[in-house]
This record gives sequence, structure tokens and C-alpha cells, in this order.
Amino acid sequence: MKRRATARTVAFYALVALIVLYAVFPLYYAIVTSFKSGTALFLPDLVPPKIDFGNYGALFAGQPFAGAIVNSLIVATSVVVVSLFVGVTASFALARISFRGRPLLLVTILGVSMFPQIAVLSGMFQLVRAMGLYNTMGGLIVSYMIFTLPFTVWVLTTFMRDLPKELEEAAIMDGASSWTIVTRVFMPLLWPALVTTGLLAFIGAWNEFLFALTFTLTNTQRTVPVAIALISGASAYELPWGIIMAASVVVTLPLVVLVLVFQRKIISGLTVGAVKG
Amino acid sequence: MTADKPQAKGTDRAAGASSIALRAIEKTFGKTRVLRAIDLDIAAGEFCVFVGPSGCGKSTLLRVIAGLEDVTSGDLTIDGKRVNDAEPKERGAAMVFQSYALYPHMTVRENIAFGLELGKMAKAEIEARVRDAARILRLDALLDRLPKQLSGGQRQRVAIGRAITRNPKIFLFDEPLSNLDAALRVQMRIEIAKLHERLKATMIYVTHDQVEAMTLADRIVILNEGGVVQVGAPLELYHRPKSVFAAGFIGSPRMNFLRGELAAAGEAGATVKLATGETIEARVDARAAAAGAKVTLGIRPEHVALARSGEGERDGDGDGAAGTLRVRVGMIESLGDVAIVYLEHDTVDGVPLTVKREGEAGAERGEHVTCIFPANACHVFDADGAAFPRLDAAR
Repeated sequence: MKRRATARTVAFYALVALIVLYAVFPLYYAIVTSFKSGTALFLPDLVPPKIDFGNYGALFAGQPFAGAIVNSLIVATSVVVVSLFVGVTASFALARISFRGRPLLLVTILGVSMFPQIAVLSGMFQLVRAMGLYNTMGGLIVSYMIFTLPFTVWVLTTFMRDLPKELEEAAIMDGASSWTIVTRVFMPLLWPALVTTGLLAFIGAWNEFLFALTFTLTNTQRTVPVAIALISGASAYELPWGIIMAASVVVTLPLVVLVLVFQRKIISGLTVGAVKG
Repeated sequence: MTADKPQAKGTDRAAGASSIALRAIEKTFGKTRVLRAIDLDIAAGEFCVFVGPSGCGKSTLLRVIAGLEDVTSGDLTIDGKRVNDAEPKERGAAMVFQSYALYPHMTVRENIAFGLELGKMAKAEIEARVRDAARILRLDALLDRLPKQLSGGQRQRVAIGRAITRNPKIFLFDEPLSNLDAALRVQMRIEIAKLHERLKATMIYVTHDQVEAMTLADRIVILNEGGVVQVGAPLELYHRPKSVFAAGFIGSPRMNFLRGELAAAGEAGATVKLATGETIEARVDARAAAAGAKVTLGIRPEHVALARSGEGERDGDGDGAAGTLRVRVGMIESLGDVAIVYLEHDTVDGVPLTVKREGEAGAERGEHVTCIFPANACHVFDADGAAFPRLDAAR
């Protein structure tokens, strides 16, 4: 009996170790590689022979990378702010006000997120051009809404629906307008959901590649994933792996930090559906 | 000191009370009629209680007055002004919810002050009013706590505090005590009665607890299936129910109803021949009916007298003296102060004939007893359930 329990514990932790390895090893290998240069790049060392920040220096000196990071920050932050604003206001209507066609609208919103990016790419391109947003970060912000908004609206609607109705009515009796109810009563209670959806929207916008590649033309407007893809070596035949890995590490770390900071909130946001008064 | 002035203002609660009038109020949700033809006047400063079974529309009626629901048709006026389309905040009413509905992320102080802040009141004045409310409701020590750190009774007091700071002219209570345990409920009931005495505002209180209704109300409104059944002072409803429904709803245990027909009917009394054969005299004005009409006889459990049949032993059931019934004792519930005796004699609802006695039961299970229906304690209802006026009832 006891033996079996031990075996199960061992098996459990072996599985955990495997998952951690699977998840963390690529990042670790990227870090290791980013410290190497020259032919050392192609040796499968698990520990770098020496810590060399040369690739990081080259990344910022020789490439338009700092600008791309700033662009990515602007785009991702704007996407988060706009998505949350539209998401909160839309979900208030969808969760709290009953109107004709509400279920259809909800399903439509969900339906939008079902199209693969490549399917909407050409249409989106026309749209972005028509709005005069081609080769601007504005074009990226608008197009990213396609995948951030359905998710944001759905999650927030679910949360908002679970808030007790009396809370809203108490606020109405206190003389609160709908805007006050949303901002001063509901938003504080929706923090976990806001953090979760905001973070996922941020990550989505930060990592997006296809739209970013298609809708921008010049280095001044490019975001990080495209910038990394376009990192070039000394000749057309050289792929500067060290610099590419350094760039990957640089863009991954902010996400890791963000997730660690908000970890608690994310967990409660994903698991707790109801906010009890 | 600057705090003195608003303090004085805060204590001055002569803000007044509003009178409310409802005229032919109807409310439908889709195809369901929730309220039908409600006509009701509530005087300024009155404590009015809405009672009725679940789903009778009492909460909806309260919410209509609050402005949380629109009326489908009819007129709602407050202080003579039509407010059908007025926003809740324009109606000068405050509401206390069954679930308290405190804002979970705000402290007690913030909860109470929220409505005042929205009303753009000066900080010092808000602080004074919050302190005033806290003093009245004994919340002083709890002002910086969050709702989750409070007990049920404390939460309820915060909810009331939130209502009183705005000096509303109308207080609306939606089953405010139903989430509290029995002891606390009694205590809060008394506090609400005191509050009414002190604030003198119009209060409307929804409950399904008839003890709350009887003790708090100046007037009770009994509702059933979306309509008003009877309106009156608590004791008036107890003594002179106008219908079987009102008679059955007020009083605990429920009034006994027995089927029968009129043997004789007149201005000074009626004789009812029960379906089981006995004849009972009732002091009601039964001019409106003729002998032979089907009626229901009602008598409250506390008005039935029991006599042990040891002494004047009369064998042979059926033709006992007028106003008496010979029956066997079934279950007995002794509560100490009173005893509830269930007799083996079916009533209209299929429940046994119930007798409530002071002190001990004075009878034993299985024993035959004579129960006496005093003529002046009997109610008689016609086939439609409407009561004949009682002649000797109090008031």
C-alpha cells in the first residue's frame, strides 16, 4: 500500500519535471545561445562556455530593435486599453441589459474569433488601407481587436453576469448612473477578470506576427516579432542566431515578469467565476 | 467647531415623509400579469407592510414604487406628483435589499457615504451624516471594516445606514430580515420599529413573515396573485378578514375552515349546518344570504374551547348542542406556553381541526373531547369566499 503511494508520488513528480522541462527548456536554450558567438553557436552546450553580452550589444547597435520594442509597447498597451474599455462597456450591456437579439449578438462576437487570421488577412488589408492606416501602428491596433475583443467581451460578460443584480439596483437607488455603476461598483469587483483578459490581450498583441508583417512597411512602424524575423547578418547567407536569440530573450522577459507579477490575479480570474458580495 | 453645524443639520430629520398613491397599477412581464389593478393610498409617515404568499407580486409592487421596474399601465404619484417615468433617485426613496447588497470592495464608511458622494455633497457634511447614521445604528466601531468582516445583523444595519443618510422621504424594505436567524430577527424588528418612530418617514415593508407584519405595520396590505386582497390595520385584519384568503393568511396556526350550509340566516346571526351534521351558531350579519346556501365556517384555533367529556357524558355523536363538536384528540404539540391540539376532524384544507390552548393541552391523545365554537368568534364566508360582517368582533 505504502509502496504504491510512493510510486505514485514519484511518477507524479516525474511528470511535473517533464512538463517543466518541455516548457522551460526552449527558453533556457535561447538564453544559453544568446551568450554564444561564432562557431560556438553550433555546439550543443547546456552551459555557455562564457557569458558574453556581445549579441545584446549588437542587437541594439546594429539593428532598429529599440524602436521596435517601443512600437510593440505602444501597440500592445493601446490594444489592452481599448479592448478593456470596449470590453467592459460592451459586456455591461450584454450582461445587464436585456434587449432583442442579445444571444445572436453574443454568438456573432464569438464567431468573429473563429476565422483564421489568414482568412481575414486580405480583407483586413483593404480595410486598413481604406482607413488610411496602412504602415501605421494604428492599423495594427485596429486589426488586433479582431482577436482580443471577442475574448475580452465574452470573459467579462460572464463575470459581469455573475455579479448580484441587487448590487446594481442598490447603486441605482443611491443615484448612480450606468457609467458610475460600471466604473465605481463593477470594475473594482472585476479586477481579476480585467487583469486576466488584459494580460492575454497584451501577450496576443505583443506576439502577433502575420498582421504586423503585412500591414507595416518601414522599420519605424514595425513591432518586435517582425523586427526579429528581419534581423540580418553580415551577408545574405548568414543567419545571426546569437543576435536572434538575444532578441527573443529580450522580448520574452517582459512577458515573464508581467505574468509573475499578476500570477495570483490570473489564477483567481480564471477559476473564480462568481464574485460574492 | 465646524462639525457642529452639519451635525445639527443631520439630527434634524424633519425632512418629512411622502404620501404615495397607486391608481390602477398594472405590470406585465411578457404575457404574465404580475400586478393587476392595484389601487392603494399610503399616507405620509405611515408604516405599510405588504404581505402575501411567494409570487403574489409584493416585491414587484415595491420595486415599482422604487422605480426599479416600470409600470405597464396606471398612475403612480408621490406627494401628488406623477412619477411613472421618474428615475429612482428623483423619487426620494431609499431601499434596503434582502441580500443587503453592500458594495463588497468598500468599507462600511464608504458604503454609507457612496450615495452622498454621488449627490456631490460637501465632505464635512458627508462625514457628519455618516457618523450620525453610525451612531443611530451602533456601527461606530465598524466604520473601517469591509462587509465580509461583518455578521449578518451588522450587514443589515449597514444597509439601513446607507438608506437613512440620504434623509429619504420613503423607505422601502424588501424582506430585510429573512436572512437573519430568529433571535436577531426579533432584535432587528424592534430596531426598525424604533427607526420609524424616530425618522417619521413613510416606510413600506415587504415580508412573508406575519409576525413582522402584525408587529410593525400601521396598515397591512394583503396581496394574492397580483391583486390587493384586503388593506387594514393588523388587528382589523385579524378580527374582520373580508375573505377566506385574508382569514387564512393572518394568524398562526391558520384559521380552521369547515364546510357547511346555512340552516338559518338573518341580521342578528346565522346557523350553519356542518357537512358532518353539527349545527353551529355564528354572530354574523347574514342578511345577504338565504338558508340553504353553501358556506364555509371559519374559527381561529385560539378561539375554540375544549371540554373534557368526563362529566356530562353524552354518548352518541352528531347531534351535540349548538356550537359543539365531539371529536377525538389526535396529535398534541406542547410548546410550554401554549399547546396545539389537532383533532380528528377534517377541515376544508384537509388539515385536522386545530385548537390552540394556553398552557397545557388539557386532553390526551385518543380521548374524546367536546369542542365549543363560541358564536361570537365564528366567521362565515359565502361560496365565493367573501365574509359576512361579524357583529361582535373587536373594533
